[in-house]
Amino acid sequence: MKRRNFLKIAGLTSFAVNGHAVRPFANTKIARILADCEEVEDRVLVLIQLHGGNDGLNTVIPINQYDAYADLRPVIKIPDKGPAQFIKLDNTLPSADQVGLHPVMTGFKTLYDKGWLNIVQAVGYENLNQSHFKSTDIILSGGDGTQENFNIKSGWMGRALNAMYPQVKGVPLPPDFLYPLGIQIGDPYPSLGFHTETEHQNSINLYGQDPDGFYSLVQTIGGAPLANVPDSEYGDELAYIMGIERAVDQYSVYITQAFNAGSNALTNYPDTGLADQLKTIARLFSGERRM
Amino acid sequence: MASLNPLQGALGQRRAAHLLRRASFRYTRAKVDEMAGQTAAEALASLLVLNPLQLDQPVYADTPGATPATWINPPQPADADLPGDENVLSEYVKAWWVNEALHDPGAAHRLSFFFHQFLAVTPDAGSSMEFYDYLMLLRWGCLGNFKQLVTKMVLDNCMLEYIDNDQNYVNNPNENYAREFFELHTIGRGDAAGPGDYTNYTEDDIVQAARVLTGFNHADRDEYQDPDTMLPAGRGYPQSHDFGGKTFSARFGGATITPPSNDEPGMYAELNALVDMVFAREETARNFCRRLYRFFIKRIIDAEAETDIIGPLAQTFIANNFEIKPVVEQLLQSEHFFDADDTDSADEAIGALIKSPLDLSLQTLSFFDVPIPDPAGSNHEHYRTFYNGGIMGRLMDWSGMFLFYPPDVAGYPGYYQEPDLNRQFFNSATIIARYKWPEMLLTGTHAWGPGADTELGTKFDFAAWLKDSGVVSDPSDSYVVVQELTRYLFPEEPDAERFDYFLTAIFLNNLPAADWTYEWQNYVSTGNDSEVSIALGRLFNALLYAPEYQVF
Repeated sequence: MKRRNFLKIAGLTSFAVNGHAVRPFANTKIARILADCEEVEDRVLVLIQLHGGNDGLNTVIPINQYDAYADLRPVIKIPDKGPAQFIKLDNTLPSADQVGLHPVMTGFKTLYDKGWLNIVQAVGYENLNQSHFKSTDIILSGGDGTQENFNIKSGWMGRALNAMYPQVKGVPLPPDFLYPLGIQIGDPYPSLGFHTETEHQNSINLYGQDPDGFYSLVQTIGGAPLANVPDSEYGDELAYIMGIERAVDQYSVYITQAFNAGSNALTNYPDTGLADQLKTIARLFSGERRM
Repeated sequence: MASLNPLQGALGQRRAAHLLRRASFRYTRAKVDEMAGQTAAEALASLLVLNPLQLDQPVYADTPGATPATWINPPQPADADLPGDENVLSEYVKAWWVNEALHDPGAAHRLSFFFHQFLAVTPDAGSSMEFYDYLMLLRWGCLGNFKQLVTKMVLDNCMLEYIDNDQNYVNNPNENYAREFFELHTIGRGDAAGPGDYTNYTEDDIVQAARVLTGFNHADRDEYQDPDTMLPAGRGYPQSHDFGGKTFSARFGGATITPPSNDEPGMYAELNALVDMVFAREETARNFCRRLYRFFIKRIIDAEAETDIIGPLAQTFIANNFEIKPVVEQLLQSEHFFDADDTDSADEAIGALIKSPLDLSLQTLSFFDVPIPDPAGSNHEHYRTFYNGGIMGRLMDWSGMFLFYPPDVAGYPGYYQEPDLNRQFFNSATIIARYKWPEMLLTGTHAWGPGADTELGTKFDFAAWLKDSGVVSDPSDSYVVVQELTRYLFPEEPDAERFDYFLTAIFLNNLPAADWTYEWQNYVSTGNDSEVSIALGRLFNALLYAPEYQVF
């Protein structure tokens, strides 16, 4: 399967929320590029999940509904004039699509002008669940507020990867597969997004690891697996643990090889947790291509 | 069928070990052996008690060697000088609690932790002193009454800040506490039954409950102590409270709450009425019992367990007016808990849970009686080097449990994130720290990664422990060493092939057993452990990073 089709599987190409096409997705440069490109191979999708609360309307300001917005944010609204005013994203868009960016987001504006950025606003579903935790689960499982999609026990990324690579069922990997299908890097809690009904360990969580020394470190831990696993819930947990052992053992080889073959073209990454993670990801990609 | 009938007869070693692992952070052979001769009821009676604390509060020395001082009790005025930086003092409170948990031979600390993981606050929600008050409130309530604990939690100074009731005023209400009160603290969220309707409560009920909670806010520690807990607590401020009547949805039978008087006692009456209303729903008791089940039994509640265990247990809870001890007793002495209620060997509680990083660290430290630096004489080594730096900073953080800093208000994902639940504790990110734990103990260092050489604050001498502790009856016999250690460290004894792996391939390195006996006798007579420590190091690592040791 072509990797660009991941976007289709993931449901990213035909957007409608509450029956309305999502704006301003359809009109921007990046949307036209995606629509036209036929043979995009060797691409990787990087998803950044920010954890916590964020005021979406103060991040991307709805210019065409500014008065209504200002009524809802009487104290903390981003002004439409003066030194702290929002950044107007794109004068060329129709007035209904006009949005502003929070004034600190100058970097995002630069990316947008190069055609490297798009914004999808107000993603949601009918009958929005206001539980902080259930709503996170619904987003990561790709569910919605309907009865049939309310309690999906797997993640949308895990399902998409299973659909794209049905021959991959964890370690041992098929001969032409060297890498985990997904890497999680930000925290030690396995994301529901990667979860699949049958646990194949197709992704790896690299939180806190130094990829350079990962392989040699993994070589120093763990003993022989059990030859006979009891047919019991105790045995189920042992089998689960041994599955993690196998995955880490095999993936660590390629994680370290890719990291060591790679390099960071940019050297001036800012000293932040997010930048560190992106730096590692970028280096793994560059290494993968050279192998 | 699954059964809550109490298990009869002496427990025996296997079931006694199972009970102690699940009930207490302190896991010792002596206690297992003592309980092995008791009935489940007798063993539980010895566990469900509040044992005295080692230290009733932490002590702090600003510089190594200085005389440690207390700063928490008696409560001081809010502007009183503190002996050190607040961030450091709050780390001391965390370390104090972990040390108490390690030394508590009963169930109180593990039960306190059970309550913490769904009544969570983080230490930075208040001062170090107020976080200590929160931990003492958990101790006050963990063997008491759940309804009272949930009510007192509303007035906890940290909790007031952590879920924003300190911003909940009559003219500017904040719904966060009310939302988490229903969803996390009490009745739990049901499936979406319609817009704003979560089966057990509705969005409008959250609005009404938030109104009941308006005006409860901080009080200075030296100015107000709760008359029941005797702990510093927040209180009701009538000028910030909404005294209007509150009407709830059909989910609560259209119940109304009106204040008997427009003053502080009237506010408490409203709060109690809210708690009464929620606890009158059977689902509140069932939700609590499901939490107990997942924490103490196993992660999946199947339809049979829902019918045969959760239902009757909830009835026990209701019949005993939400006293905690009767339900914990009933569950942990049940045939179901001990896998004695049917003949289906595939349906097990024993060994079916993955240890949390806290269980892993404390049960290891207690079983091997690892020396702990003295909190008074070696203040920095005890609080900072060992607990904050080594146990929490290295082992637990890197195993995915930032103790008392769960990533979410809902607590630690291992206890709530479906469908994985406590499998979350063991994954490709946490395996390294978990599997490096034996090496940390043997080398007395952080052992791996950046700062590998950092001192742990203790070092485990396996040979000396075998020689002096008496835990293994005959250390000169390699078979006995492996048999007794696997019997107590693993939930089930290994089969012959697995046993042979630990004994022959690992411990003896395929040499004759007589060689070990010779080396051991040589060690005992000369004190030179250079030969035995190699074999013992292999065995210690292999046992502690075995999959069988990750579960309990």
